[in-house]
Amino acid sequence: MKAHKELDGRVLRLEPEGNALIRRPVWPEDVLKHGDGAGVVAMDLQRTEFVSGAFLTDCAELARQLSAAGRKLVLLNLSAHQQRLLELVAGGERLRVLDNEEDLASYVLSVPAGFDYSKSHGGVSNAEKEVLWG
Amino acid sequence: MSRPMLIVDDEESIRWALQELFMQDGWEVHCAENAEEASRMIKQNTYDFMITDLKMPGRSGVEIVREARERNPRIGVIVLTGYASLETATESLRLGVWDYLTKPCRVHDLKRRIDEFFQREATRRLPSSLWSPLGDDDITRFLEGAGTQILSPSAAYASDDGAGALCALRSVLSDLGFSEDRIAELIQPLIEGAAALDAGGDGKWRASLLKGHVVASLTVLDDHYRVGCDGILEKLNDKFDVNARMVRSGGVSSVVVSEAIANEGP
Repeated sequence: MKAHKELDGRVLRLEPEGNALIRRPVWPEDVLKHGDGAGVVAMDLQRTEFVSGAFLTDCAELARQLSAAGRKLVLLNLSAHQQRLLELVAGGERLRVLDNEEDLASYVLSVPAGFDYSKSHGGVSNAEKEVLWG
Repeated sequence: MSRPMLIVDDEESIRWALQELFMQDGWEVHCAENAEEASRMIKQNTYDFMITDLKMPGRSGVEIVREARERNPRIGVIVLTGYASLETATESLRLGVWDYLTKPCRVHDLKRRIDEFFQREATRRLPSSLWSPLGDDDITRFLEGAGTQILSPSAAYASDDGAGALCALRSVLSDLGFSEDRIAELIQPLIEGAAALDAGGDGKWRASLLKGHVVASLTVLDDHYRVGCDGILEKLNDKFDVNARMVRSGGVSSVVVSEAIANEGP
């Protein structure tokens, strides 16, 4: 899974590539390590094949954990089929789906710019490690 | 009785060559040198197949494809162009063109693609007696690898590799004329099964045609299987109108998806 920051560091983009979803996804350490200052984590599924409900369920759980830490998870480049699949997933309503880069930019402007994970959350909880690192 | 075919091309040499080629194979070949002439012929005749150029004086070949398919949705169309572009390829495929070939093209390839089209059509026009519902015995025999009837130009596929099997199944469904959206819906239960395995792709995948249905399965040892516990198959069945079921027998579990192919395709 690729991870990089963009939009002046306010977005951390995660890109699961290829057949990432036969196995349950393992979130990269980058979600936390390089997420400092990024108020939004964007899960970009453009290059992801075979998206499962289990994957989207994990995304929903990640969104819950990030939300508790004051950060947002959004999904980018979902197909129409994947958006319908999301409706079957427990907690799927927590996931914001954005259609394109413009929507992402607009969304980023609507959430707090700065974010310091270590200060706001006091470190990483065991429960969060379990979700974030699998 | 010979089948009627229309060839549309502004190059006389191409028209002549294709006409000779397909008349030898028993086709009744009509030729048009531009879109206007083709349009008149489409109105006057019912063609089983059409080979058309795209770039011609006057109206484009894309418009002729659209007109031909409006008149006969079952017509097979191959676009044969010397000016291939992503835009025209996309538009052609969106209109249900069977294939998009560039000049020069090999006669063998052209004939093979036409043969494949009619094999697919034959599959879709099976006698109604072959469209009987799949019973438990059919599924059991399918999972055992016996009793299947291969009707598709694509061979039955069995694999231990999850991603490879899903890609192959996607190709089989595409060959059969299923839309991209429908393919996504049909393979979703198998993706859920794969995602629930402890080891990625550790299972036996199988896809084939049986009694007018495309049937696909993923079989794993019971010990490794967790899917179905949250009712995902039932949710998928309701949401996507798919027929997915769990079959447990002899220490193994299988997710089986079946779909009649009668009304699918462009």
